[in-house]
Amino acid sequence: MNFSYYLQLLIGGVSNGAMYAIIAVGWALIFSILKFSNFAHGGTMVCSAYLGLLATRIIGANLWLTLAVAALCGGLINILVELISFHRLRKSSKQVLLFFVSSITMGMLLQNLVTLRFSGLFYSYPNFFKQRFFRIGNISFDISNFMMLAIAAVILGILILVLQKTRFGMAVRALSVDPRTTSLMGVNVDLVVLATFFIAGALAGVAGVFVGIRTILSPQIGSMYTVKGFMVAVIGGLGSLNGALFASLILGLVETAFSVILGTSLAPVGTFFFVLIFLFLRPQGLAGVFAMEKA
Amino acid sequence: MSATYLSYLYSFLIDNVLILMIGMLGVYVLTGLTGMFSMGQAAFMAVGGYAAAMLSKYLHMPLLVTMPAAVLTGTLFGFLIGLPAVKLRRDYVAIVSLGFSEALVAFLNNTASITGGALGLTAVPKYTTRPMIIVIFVLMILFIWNLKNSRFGRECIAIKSDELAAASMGIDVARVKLLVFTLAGAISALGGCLYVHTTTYLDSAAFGWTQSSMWIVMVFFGGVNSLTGSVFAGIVLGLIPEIFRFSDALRIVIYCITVLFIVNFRPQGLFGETELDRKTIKRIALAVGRFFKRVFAPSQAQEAEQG
Repeated sequence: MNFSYYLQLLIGGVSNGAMYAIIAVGWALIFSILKFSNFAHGGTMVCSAYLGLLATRIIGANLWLTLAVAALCGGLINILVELISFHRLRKSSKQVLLFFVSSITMGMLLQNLVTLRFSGLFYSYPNFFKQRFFRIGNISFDISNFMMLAIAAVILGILILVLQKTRFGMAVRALSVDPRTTSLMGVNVDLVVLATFFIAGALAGVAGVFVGIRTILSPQIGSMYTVKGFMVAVIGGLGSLNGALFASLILGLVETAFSVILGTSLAPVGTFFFVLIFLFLRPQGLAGVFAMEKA
Repeated sequence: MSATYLSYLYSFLIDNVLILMIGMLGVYVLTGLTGMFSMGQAAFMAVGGYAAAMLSKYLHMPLLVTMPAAVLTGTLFGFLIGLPAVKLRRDYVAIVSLGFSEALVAFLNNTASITGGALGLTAVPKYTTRPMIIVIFVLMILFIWNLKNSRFGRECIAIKSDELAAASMGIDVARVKLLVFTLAGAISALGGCLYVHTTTYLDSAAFGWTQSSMWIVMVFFGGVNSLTGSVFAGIVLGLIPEIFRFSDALRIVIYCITVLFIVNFRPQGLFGETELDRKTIKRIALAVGRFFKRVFAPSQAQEAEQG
C-alpha cells in the first residue's frame, strides 16, 4: 500500500474508463439522433468481439487487424439493427416503449446468436503483446491498459473532429436538433442515420475487442455492458458526447475504487449508490441539458 | 403430442408460466397502466422469494406467515426504491430500478453463507399446490382488472398518456406513481414467494436483467393497455420456449424473431387496447352469429340484410 500501488490503480481506473467511453460515446451518438437509447448496443458489441476472435483464430490477425475486423463487423451489424428494429418504428410511431422493446429484443437476439454458434463457453483473446508489463523504477505498468487508453483517445479525437469539422458531422448535429428541418435542408436523413449507426457499431466493435483483452469473452457480457453503457450515458446527460466522456472516466475510477474498498463482488452495490446519489444531486446529468422530451 | 407430453406442458404452464406471470402483473401495473419503465422488476420478485425462503427454511414458518411477509418486504422495498425514482424523470426510473436489481444480485452473491448466492438456496419447503396457484392467479387478475377500472386506475392511465395534463387536472402525480411502484413491488414479491415454494430452489441469477426485460416485452407484445393481451402474451411467450425445446439458444432466437415481427408490423401489440369485457364478448357473439347465419341459411341472411 504505497504510492505506486495507488498509481497503478489510477491507471487501471482510467483505462477502464476509456473502455466505457468508447461504449458510451456510441450510445450517446445514437441517442442524440434518435432521442432514444439503443439497447442492442451490447449485442452488437459481443457479436463483433466474437467475430474479431474468429479473425485471430483463423487468419492469426494481430491487434490492429483484429480491431479493424471487429469495427467493420460491428458497423455492419449495427446497420442491420437499424434496418430491422428501428427503421419502421422511426417512420410510424413515436412511442418510446416500442423502441425499448424492439432494441432490447434485438440485443437478446444477437447475444443468443453468439450463444448458438459458440455456446456459453468462455473464450479469451490471444496475448497481443510480447511482454505484458513494463517497469519504470519499481512501478510496473500493464501495457494493454496503456494501449487501450491511447487507442481510445485517438479514436474519440478523430470522431470529435469529424463531428465538428465535416459536412457529415454537421448533418448529424443538425439531425439531433430537428430531423424535419434537416431533411428540408436537403440532407438525406435515412442515410445519415445509417451512417451514424455504422459509426456507433464500429465503436462497439472496438469496445468488444477491449473487453475481450481485459477480461474473458462470454455471451453474457452483451447485456452486462448494455447496462453499464446506459448508466454512463445517463450520468453524462443523455445524448451528450462530452458528458459521456467525462461520465465514463468517473465511472471507471469509481468502480475501481469500490472494487478496492468493498471487494470486486460487492462493487456493483457501491456503484449503484453512487449513481443514485449522483442522480439525486444532478438529475440532468453532467452535461446539464435535459434531452428534449415531449411535455 | 402424447398424453404425457400434454400433462407435462400443463404442469409447466402452472408451475413456471403462471407464477412468473404474477411477477409480470407488477410490470403491467407499472408499465402498461402508468407508463413507467422498471428494468429491474425481477429484483422485487427476488426480494419476496428470499424473504419467504429464509423464513420457511431457517425458522420453519408456514405459508400463512411467509406469504404476507414476502408481500410486506416487497412493499417496503418498492416504497424505498420508488421514493427517489418517482421524483426523477421517466427514463431514470428505469436506471434506478436497474441499478437496484444489479446491486441486489451482487449483494446476494456476497452473502452466500445465508442466501446461497450464485449456487442457490436449496431445500426450501414446498407449500403450494397447483389449484392454489390457479386460484391466486385468478384473484390477482380480478384485483388488477378492478384496479384498472377504478378511479385510481384511471388516474394511472391519465399519467401514462400525458403527465402534464394529468397534473393540471388535479392528480397528484408523484403520489400516484409512488403508490403504483409500491404496489408493483408487492405483486412481484408475491410472485417470488409462490415461485420459491413451488420450485423449492432459488438462485440469484434467475432474477437478473433478462427476466425483467422479458416481462416488459410480454406486456408490450400483448397490447399497450390491455390486461387480456398481457395475460395472453404471457402464456404464449412463456410456452413458446417450452414447445420449441430442441435447443436452449435456438428457442430464444425464435422468441426474439417473433417479438420483432410483432413490434414491426403491429406496433400497438396483439390486442391493442381491447379487453375481453362484456362489450367485446357481445361483439364476438354477434360476429359469430352472423357467420353461422351466412353459412347455414344464406338466403335468409341476405333477405335480413336487405330488409
